[in-house]
Amino acid sequence: MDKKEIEKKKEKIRKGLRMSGLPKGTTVIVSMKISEDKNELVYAEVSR
Amino acid sequence: MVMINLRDVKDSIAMWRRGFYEFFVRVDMTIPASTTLTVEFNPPIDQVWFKEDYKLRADALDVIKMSYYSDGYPVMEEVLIGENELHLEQLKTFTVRSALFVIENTDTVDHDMGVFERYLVIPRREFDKILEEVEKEV
Repeated sequence: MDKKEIEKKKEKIRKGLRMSGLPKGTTVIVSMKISEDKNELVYAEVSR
Repeated sequence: MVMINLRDVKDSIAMWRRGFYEFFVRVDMTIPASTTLTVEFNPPIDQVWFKEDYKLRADALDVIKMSYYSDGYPVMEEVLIGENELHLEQLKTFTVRSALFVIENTDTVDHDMGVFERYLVIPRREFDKILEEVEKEV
């Protein structure tokens, strides 16, 4: 997977992600597998 | 080592229930074609989550594979989602440190999926008390 393709996919994931109702202080980490042993961070937040 | 029965703990929680609160969580996401996503939820350090209900909705059948690990232990592994709306009773579980989902879209086109969860948030100190009481009774 080349860099451009990875960025395109990450953007799609960020745009499509909708979360509601998580308790205050919850940490959410979304990452995407880019090779057998490597994940790339897509999105992270602590709900407020 | 004392083995704790999940049902005993759950019954104790039901007795204590008045002090706890319920949350309804909804997560919708797009999984691009041929992509594997990892989604990790970490409760605040002073909370324990007890998942009471879990509904999963997928826009296509037999293309999305899902694994779920609670505190590092597998609850389900590489389950192919074969129904548009799945009500997963067996997912009743506690999360103390992390709930980790690995979701794979095995198809060549993008797909959408959503989950709807209902769970109890239990203050950590109350949860520890319940565990102590259940251990005494065992």
